[in-house]
Amino acid sequence: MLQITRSGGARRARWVLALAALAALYGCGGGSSTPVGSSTSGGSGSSYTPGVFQPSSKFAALCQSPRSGTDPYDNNRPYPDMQGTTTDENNWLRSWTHELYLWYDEVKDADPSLSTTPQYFQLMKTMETTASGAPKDRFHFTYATSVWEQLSGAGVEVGYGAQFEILQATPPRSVRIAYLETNLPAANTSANLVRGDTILTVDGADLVNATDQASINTLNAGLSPANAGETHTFTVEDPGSSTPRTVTLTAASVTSTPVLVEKTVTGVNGSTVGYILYNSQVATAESELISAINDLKSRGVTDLVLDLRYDGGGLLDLASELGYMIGGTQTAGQTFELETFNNQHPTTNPVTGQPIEPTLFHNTTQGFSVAAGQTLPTLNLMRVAVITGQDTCSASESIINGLQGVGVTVYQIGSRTCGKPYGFYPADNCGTTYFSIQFQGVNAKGFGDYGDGFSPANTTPAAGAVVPGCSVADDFDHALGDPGEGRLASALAYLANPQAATCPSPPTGNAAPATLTQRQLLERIFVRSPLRQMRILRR
Amino acid sequence: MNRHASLGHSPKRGFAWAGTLLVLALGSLPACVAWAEPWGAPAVITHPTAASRADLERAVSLELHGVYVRLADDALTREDLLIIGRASARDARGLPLNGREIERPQHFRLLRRRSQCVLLHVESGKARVLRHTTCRMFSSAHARGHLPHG
Repeated sequence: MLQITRSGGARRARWVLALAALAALYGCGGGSSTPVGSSTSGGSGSSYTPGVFQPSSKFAALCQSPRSGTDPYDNNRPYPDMQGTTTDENNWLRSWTHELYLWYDEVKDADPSLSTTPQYFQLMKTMETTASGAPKDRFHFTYATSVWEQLSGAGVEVGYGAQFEILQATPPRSVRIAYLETNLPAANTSANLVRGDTILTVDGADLVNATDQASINTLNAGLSPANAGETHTFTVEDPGSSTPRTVTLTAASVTSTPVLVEKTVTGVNGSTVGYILYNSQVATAESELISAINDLKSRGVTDLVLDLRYDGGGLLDLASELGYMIGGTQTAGQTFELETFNNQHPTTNPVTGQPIEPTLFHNTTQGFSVAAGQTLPTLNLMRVAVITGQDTCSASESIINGLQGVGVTVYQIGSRTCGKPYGFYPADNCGTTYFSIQFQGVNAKGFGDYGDGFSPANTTPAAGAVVPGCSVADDFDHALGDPGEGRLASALAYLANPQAATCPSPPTGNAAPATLTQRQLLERIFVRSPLRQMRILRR
Repeated sequence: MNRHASLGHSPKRGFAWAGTLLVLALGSLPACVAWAEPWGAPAVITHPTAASRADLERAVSLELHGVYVRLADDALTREDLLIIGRASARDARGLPLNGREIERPQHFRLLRRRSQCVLLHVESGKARVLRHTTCRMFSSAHARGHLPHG
């Protein structure tokens, strides 16, 4: 969760987004029109000619509402903003997109004088779909710069110390507790929450069935507290129980433990198998991973089950470090991931101006929470079983892809990953930070085409890049790391005899995300509000 | 403006070059001693209060150009190292907005010098006295593989 306070700027940004969304929906039919011809517009005095793009620098910081004063995020230098127009801001978006957007040649050109800026930004992306029919670009959004620039202690977020997992966001909704942090706020220990608890109500609102906006607002406010100290009342049902109970939880600034579980389990054939539950790729994970790998190494593990089912990504260098700690000598000097940009920039990173160089598998620490330059331990494994789910995303997926790229065999147990081989260099203009996909990460074999995610081989229906393994549902009736937990049990069985590829009957429902309806699109814009940064439920 | 373009590898407010400095300082130097010794011994906060938390947040923020910083209530109470990064921003599904981070975090160390608690910003080498904070010396043996002490 994002640690923020309610600010006027954020509130304004939310209203701007909301109004823009409405304008987009009801003003131009979702932005499908392609203006033609020329028009004169903008404080810069430029005119619009389809297919002709001036440098984005010409329009940078020309703002309809320039900020005044100094920028605390830029050494208190005066804001660079100068008086401009909405068209200037749109011109900047148009040129910036043409210069850097990964699929710039799939963006329909549009007259920048005909839209609000939030509306125009939504036009500046590809409308193509993936092989599965999902939108090709599912990661196109904005943030108020003043919020995006805020800082926090590594892994610190406002919450209850309980990680909620939304299994179904629309009625009949399903939300369960995935895991509890070790640093559970003292006020919440008496709630006796456990993995698998089902949330039934929040502050009296029916989580499962409510459809009215007031209830949805109540649910979101309770599931995603904005400030430490907030208290909310939940009705929960424990696994195996049909008797709901009421608990009151207090939000606090909670520090997550990235490596939540590290242990050995006995494999099906009696071997010693390591298990790591890795939930968050934040700086503190570096020391925790080293400790975990050292411990597993000392216990003589011959296999590893890496549980990434709740790991949404983070520091790419940490993913690379972990790749080395698994694959060892097999990865030495090899590419972990290479950033590839659009075809206008085949050799030079257009943002940094530096030659495009791959991120190698790091065999030494990178100085996140351990002094840089120390040799990393490694298990030197030729294969690894990775547990995945819908939350396995981005840098977390790159661990799978990076290892596959150097010939380490990866078995995937669980469900389809989120499908985000992409990255951003967020850019701010006039107080809004824009996220527009600029690069794709590929492995040593040049593969990075997993926009539909990675899927275990027997997934029904098939989707994404196929990896040997088993499609297995999340098992909320067992603790994470329990050899009886469905996904871990399947991983152990698969490791014992991968040739047999024996899997339990696969669950259904792993289809790629459907194209959003206009109603859902509107809701998605609302849910981008940093004030309700996550755990958003829909009608 | 493409202001954050450079942020990717190095936040322009000095994150990047400071990160490079960190790597150089902590990696190439056996410099765990070089910066720690003049300021005092590793320490942890003993009795955190609202005032001490505000003290700490203010000191960290000042070193980072006044940027708002959220810290855990128990920051620097269990170890002498504090790592600061961009606040975790998530999408509607709860996933990190930027799942491929290439920025480097900032590091602070708490040190005890005579009777004072001193917060050292590792990347810049600047130190501030925390006036509303009590602390005690902390044995590095209690840390788990963190940045080495002098």
